[in-house]
Amino acid sequence: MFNSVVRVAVAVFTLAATSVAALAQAPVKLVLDYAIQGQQSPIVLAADGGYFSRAGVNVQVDRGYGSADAITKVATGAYDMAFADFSVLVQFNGRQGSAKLINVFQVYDVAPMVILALKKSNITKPADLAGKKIASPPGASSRVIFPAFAAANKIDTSSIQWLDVTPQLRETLLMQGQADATTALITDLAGLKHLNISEDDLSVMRFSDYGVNLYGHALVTTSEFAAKNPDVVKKVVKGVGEALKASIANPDLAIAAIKKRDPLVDEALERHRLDLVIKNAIVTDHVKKAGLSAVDMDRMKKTIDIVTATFKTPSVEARSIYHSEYLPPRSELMLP
Amino acid sequence: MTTTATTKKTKKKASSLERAMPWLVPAFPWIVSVATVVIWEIGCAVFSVPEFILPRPSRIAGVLISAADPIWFHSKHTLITTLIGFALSVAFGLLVGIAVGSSRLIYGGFYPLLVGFNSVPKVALVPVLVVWFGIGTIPAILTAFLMSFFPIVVNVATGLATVEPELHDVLRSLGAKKRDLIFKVGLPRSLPFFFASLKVAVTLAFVGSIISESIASSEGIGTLMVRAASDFRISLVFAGLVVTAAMGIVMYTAFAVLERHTTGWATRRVDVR
Amino acid sequence: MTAARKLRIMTGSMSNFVAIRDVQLVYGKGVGVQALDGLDLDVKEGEFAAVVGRSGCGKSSLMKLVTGLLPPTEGTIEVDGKEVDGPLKIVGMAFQNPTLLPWRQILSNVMLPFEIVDEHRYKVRMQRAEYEIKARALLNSVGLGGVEKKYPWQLSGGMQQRASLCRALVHQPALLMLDEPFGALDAFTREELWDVLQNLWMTRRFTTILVTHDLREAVYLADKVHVMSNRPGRIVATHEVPIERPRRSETAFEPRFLNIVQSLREQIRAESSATDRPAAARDAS
Repeated sequence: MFNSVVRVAVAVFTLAATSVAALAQAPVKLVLDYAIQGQQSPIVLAADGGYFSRAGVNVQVDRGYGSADAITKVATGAYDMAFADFSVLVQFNGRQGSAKLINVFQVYDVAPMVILALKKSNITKPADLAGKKIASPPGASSRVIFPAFAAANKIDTSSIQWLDVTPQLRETLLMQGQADATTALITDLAGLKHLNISEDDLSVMRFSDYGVNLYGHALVTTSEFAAKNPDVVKKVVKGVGEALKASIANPDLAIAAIKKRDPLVDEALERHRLDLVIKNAIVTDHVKKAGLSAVDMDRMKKTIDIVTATFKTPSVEARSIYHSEYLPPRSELMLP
Repeated sequence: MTTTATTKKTKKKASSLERAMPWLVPAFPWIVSVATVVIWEIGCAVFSVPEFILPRPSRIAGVLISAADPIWFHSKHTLITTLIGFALSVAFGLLVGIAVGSSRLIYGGFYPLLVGFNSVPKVALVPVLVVWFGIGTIPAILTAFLMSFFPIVVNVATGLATVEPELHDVLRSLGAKKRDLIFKVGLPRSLPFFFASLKVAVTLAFVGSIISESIASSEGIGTLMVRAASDFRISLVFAGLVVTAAMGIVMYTAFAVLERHTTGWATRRVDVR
Repeated sequence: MTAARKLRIMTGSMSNFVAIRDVQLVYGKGVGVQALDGLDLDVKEGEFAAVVGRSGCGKSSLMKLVTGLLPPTEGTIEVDGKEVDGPLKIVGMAFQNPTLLPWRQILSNVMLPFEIVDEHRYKVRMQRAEYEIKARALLNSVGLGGVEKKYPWQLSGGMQQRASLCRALVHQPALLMLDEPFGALDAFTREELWDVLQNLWMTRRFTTILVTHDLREAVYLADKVHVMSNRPGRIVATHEVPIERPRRSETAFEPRFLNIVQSLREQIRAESSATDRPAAARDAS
């Protein structure tokens, strides 16, 4: 008799405890585009530096495995939000035939995608890539968008021999000469410098110089999540914005944040990566004047059109994908 | 009297089911597989599961047909690297297995090394292999080999080490040399173990090839699946998975049949005790 | 059988073929288990000797010593005038377990010694047919005429043991060692095989040492029966069996036969109580 009373009591207590826990705020799960390096450090700073909590939201920031993978994870609901490349988002929506994912904060004003080759391979213009071996991870944004680059520069993609590699191997293969070129983001220059290849040894072709001037990485989420949790999204955006401003003003702050997470981080290397992405992608002349996520809707339409043309998906309205209503007031997005 | 009657009765019951549907036993695996596919298809339709989460079997079948050429091209490549890596495993596995199983000295010296090596996840080794040997076929063959040789070594060594001492005594009393013991008794005795390990090893070799391809390659079914995933073509990923599973089943079955043919004597041993 | 041997047997001038002197055998490390202590045994050439005793008295160890599979801790073992220091090559062995190689047919199993013994191993490849004739003849003589192509698991226990005996004898060894070869067989098969063995021995006259716990078997087959004490084993008595051959199943009921069996049994019982060891429950029949 007493036994069963105890058992019932335990059951009731457990049920009550779990319900209380469920009511408490579960963290917003955010996945990055790749492993935590310099480029991702502002977002880590937002979490570990208190910017999210000051904005009133609890965010869990995890590493990712490529923009494509990050976007898939948000689409399936495994994560609530992601930091990933905008063009890959457009491609995904196009394949699904719905405006499933939306862009709520444009972080990179320019997608800093590049083609890198050793100077001695004599690849100085896009046409030189025909018939060459290019090493690239299949899920990286620079690889995904390469067809657009090829279309804009009339390269026959069937002549290219792709070497699929995990991102870590890309630079090694280039260095060894196993690959003639690689697609990457500008931040790769830091990694190559680390392998004693300076920019002088390399020929760098920026996509933006060759007719593929796209908006780059952004904060993305599903339209459902945004509709159900508009305040949460606003707070996350605010936190990221503040952390970005702090990182731009003092990059070492962001680097310190990632070092705290992973003591094995090479501060000099990651600082170099962060500097490259700030200089080439985040703080453009336009941003200096108009502030962060000051999106020119015509240019955004152009980005969308290039992507839909490349992947032969129907064109969409910019406003259906980019939603600026979650941004804080413009004054808070200006850089000092 | 009663016991006999009951036994007779139950015996009759079992055989009447079999008699009613004698085709049930061999047909059952097929029935289960078809049922799974049907439930999958209906489930996806009923619950409106989006394609990028779980494609329907009908979609997958469609992709298998429309992308048949590239799928076949890549599968062939994986099959070849698997079989070459596996062949290396067999050769190496036999040699090392014999050496380890027949000499206490070698056993003591090399076993820790082998076990330690086998514990290293081969995924971690692939980038190293790529740097050493270049991207593509060679790392895939090597990974297939590295993943599959250990079970063969263990089984051959175990087979050799568990030969009944009386068999050895009979030969030794005739003046048999160590070589005689291995080739006339040890190895034939170990064949069942050896063939059993082949089934396992060939599937491991297959997995090794695909792992290598998904890390660094330009051809192979692993490459195809990774590219398809980053292209959000999940039906193609699943088509690749289906082909992979099919190849795995074929390889396993081939060696299971071989095992049955060559070691019929082992499953019928009568212990005179 | 060589002419010289024939002569020796006929003139009765057979020397000790097997001579074991004061042998000790200790198993294991450290203090170890003393299996044999002060064992003396002589077997003349062409003689059929039996060794009886309770289970665990060290009979099988004796087997391994004589064939050179185990070295003695102390003492000497001589076979054919030479000291044993490794596996002998003129021995045939059969155990309780027939240990036929299951992946070979019966004929192939019986031919196995030819493939191993130095004298024949290279010839057998060239002159396989000749060797096969010898093997087949032997199989015929023990009643296994039609089973050459069968596999061991297709034969009964008794037939397997006959094949095992053939394998032990096919290379015409001078010495045959038998370690409880009929222990796993039923009574009827056992008595059949006694006659099989007796016939073989009468034709070929190899020196035989039969280790057994079955007293009737020992008296039926042997010229001399040696009684071994419990562990640590040594020979405590030797009984002669002056019954002429060929012995038949009726012989086993004659008074003189039963007397020998009885005195053996009493001796073994006396041994057990004398050494005050917990005797094994298995009764020597």
